[in-house]
Amino acid sequence: MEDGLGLLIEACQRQDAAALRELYRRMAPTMLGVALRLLRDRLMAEDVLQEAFLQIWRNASRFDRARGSARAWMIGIVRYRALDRLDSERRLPVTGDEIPDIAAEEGIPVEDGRALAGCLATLPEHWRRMVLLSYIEGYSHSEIAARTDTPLGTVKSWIVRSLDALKRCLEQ
Amino acid sequence: MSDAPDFGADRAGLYVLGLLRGEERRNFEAECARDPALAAEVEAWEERLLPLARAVPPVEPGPAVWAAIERATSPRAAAPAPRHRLREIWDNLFVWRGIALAGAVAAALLALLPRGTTGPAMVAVLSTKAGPVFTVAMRTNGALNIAPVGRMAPPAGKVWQLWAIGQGEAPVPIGFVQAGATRLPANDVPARLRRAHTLIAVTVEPPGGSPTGRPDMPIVFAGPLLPVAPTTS
Repeated sequence: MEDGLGLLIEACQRQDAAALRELYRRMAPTMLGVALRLLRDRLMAEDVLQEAFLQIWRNASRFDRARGSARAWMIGIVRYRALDRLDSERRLPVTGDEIPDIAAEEGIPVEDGRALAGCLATLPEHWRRMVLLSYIEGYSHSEIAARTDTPLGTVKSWIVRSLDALKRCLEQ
Repeated sequence: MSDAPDFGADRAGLYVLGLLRGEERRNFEAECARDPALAAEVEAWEERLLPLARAVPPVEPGPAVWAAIERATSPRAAAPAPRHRLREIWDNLFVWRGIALAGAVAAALLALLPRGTTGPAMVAVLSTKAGPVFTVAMRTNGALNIAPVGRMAPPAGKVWQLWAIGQGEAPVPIGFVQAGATRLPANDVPARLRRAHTLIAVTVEPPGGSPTGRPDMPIVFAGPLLPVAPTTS
């Protein structure tokens, strides 16, 4: 299911450099894609990717298979690193107007994404868009408000309600 | 709908979406470090939303990225062994400059305290090379009051972990320091370390603290404990 990613992280706990190399080969393109989407700056995104792998190497012993998947752990590390950058550096405004609807069912890997895609599809379209603008594009509440021409309070409330609805839907 | 944060808001979900920013995010991460149930909620959301990250088109990194990772993780580049680092801490001048400062703080506290009150038994001034950062007051039962000297916050996404180090001993983790005033309960500092010249040190660590139980990162500030009243040492 996890293609042995968990085993590779556990090998990193024993300072196995070949395991880190293999983790990098398998996960770095996905992680860079995520970071680049959040930061929209190739140099900064590669910098974040590098930091993320050093963190994975040093903190491999904090990974606990019982608590979550290896993939979620690694993606989490690169996302929080990228969000750190978003906190500290203003990024360039995007020029493109439309974001592709990445959550459209065919866009999500089938093996584990069908449930989420199905649940996202039950949300009103503007709610779904706000979830994607935050998670994938890294927009803050106020950036989403400006971008979608929606009052800030409404944005906050819709996102909170989207989270509640997604959680309920996925737990069914 | 108001702009105020919704009381029922799923903060773990907002955090994973990336919607807690700045100080709000750092505070939440510090909370996660102390609250395993909250950390578990975060992990559940990371799992739920993971398919979205996998749907983002992958991008092949340039060769320089792996080269830099390899350099940083090769044995030659490894951090000095803990024993060496410990010696470095003890040998570090800025740590011992704290003694003079702590002495002054102790004298000031003594002057303010009426005789017989339960004031601190020990004080330390945690300093960087640039000067004092935190004052630490410890009661005889090991309870700590830690106050920042100015406005300070750990780097984004990090926590400050506090250590007690006896001479020639491995550092013992004793808790986390907040950006504001921190109180740590009695008995977090082992009784044998509640003595003069035990070093109190702070490292910057990932949320949840050092995974190895030893300080993994360089000491950012430190200072030795000194007795307030001559009779307590």
